[in-house]
Amino acid sequence: MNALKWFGDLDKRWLYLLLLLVVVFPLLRPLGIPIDVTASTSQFIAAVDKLAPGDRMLLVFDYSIGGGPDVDPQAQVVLAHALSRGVRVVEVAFVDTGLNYAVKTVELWESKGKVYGTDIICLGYATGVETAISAFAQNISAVFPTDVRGKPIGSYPIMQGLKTAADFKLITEFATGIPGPAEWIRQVVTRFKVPLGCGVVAVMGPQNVPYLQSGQLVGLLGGGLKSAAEYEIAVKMPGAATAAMDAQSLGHLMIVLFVILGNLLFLVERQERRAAKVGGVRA
Amino acid sequence: MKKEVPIAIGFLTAVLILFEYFFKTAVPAVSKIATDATNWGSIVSAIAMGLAAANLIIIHARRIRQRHPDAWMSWVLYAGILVMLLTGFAKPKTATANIYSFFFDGLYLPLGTAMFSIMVFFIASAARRAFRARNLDAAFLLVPGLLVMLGNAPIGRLISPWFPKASSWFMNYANVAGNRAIMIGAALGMVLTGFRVILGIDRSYFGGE
Repeated sequence: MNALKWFGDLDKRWLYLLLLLVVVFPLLRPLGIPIDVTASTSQFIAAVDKLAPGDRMLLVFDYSIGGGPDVDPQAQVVLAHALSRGVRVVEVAFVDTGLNYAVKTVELWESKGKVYGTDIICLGYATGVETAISAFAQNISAVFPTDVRGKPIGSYPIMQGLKTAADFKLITEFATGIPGPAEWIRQVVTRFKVPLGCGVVAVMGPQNVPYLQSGQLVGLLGGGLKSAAEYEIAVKMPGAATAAMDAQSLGHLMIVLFVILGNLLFLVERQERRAAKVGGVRA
Repeated sequence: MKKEVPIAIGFLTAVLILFEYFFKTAVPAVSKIATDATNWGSIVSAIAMGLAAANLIIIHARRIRQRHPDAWMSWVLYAGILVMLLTGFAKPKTATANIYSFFFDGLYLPLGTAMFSIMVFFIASAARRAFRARNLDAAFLLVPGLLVMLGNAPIGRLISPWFPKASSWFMNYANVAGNRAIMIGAALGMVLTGFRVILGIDRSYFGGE
């Protein structure tokens, strides 16, 4: 009882410090907690596995800086998986900050030997959210006459024969808000019948599960960093997400313990208030 | 005329886009016009971004002119806009592009990420004092929340294999049922609002009406 009251009165800065230690410790000394691959992640992997070498996949960087740490590892592992299978990747962004991630990714893969314009390309950023997505899907070169490096997109081998969204074998979109899966389903999946896989921040995951069940999404990475870790484990490309999972696990556990202790304290306090009330009436 | 013309433009564009969506196979010629109209949407959006930047500059110029106590922040904003604008046009892998990368990767990115990450401490504090099962309704919200949280973290399975199963059930059944209802309701609302805007009944986008 006293311990619970002590917990209730504890300065919140001690809780912050405790949480910080609990999160930092496994980053320094990984615990190796096993990670299960969920069905929605397996479906996403299967959609990428279905692609043949030379097929073209669109990768959309629709994420902000704040949600980047949750979603960027998803985009990176999906891209690595696709490129390892010989799939050619076209990158694009409909969120301004997404373009920076896209450009950096291209530079990274160029340094690993992929050829810009043949294996991978970045078209750039288009403003206009859903309208821009619709315009892009109907006529790619009308929205992006040139790529981020200022050359006409028709001059690159990867862009030959790519006119509309229907020419992609798979679209993968990574989002932290609007535009997100709903906009792509409305403007692209319904009209052009292209398979769409999405990766989103953990808070957006639940609201997108209905799209997966209805078949409008072929895969959903709806658990943020956890989904990225599952993907990394499944395709045997462990990276940043896998390394962060122990920290996230212990962080979750700590929050759950705080909630349980907080509720026990609440019950004790309520019991005491009731007892005091009854005592007061008797007196 | 100030209202009739925008309403007429909105009506004609909306009818064109809707017509193309449903009858593009029957009338292929309409596709080209509709695509042009959609591209114009993107162009107008790009102009709006420029307009927003101009508006920001004007507002902060006013603050500086009025010698507002926080006017120095406006100067910081001007400096930021100027530096990022000038370096943003640089060709990749040049010294100027490195300045852009320095500010973006070394300042904007960690600040943005830190703002988002700091929330975990507020959640920890709220977990102790706010997430309480004060009544049955609150308990219905809290218990599945905790189950899903533990079920989604890899450590949940180590504690009990029941946690991932419970989490999966809540996500695939209870969550989907609720979300579908919200989605369908919102979609119907969107259709109605769309018609009100197309027909000029809803003119709130003119501002203040």
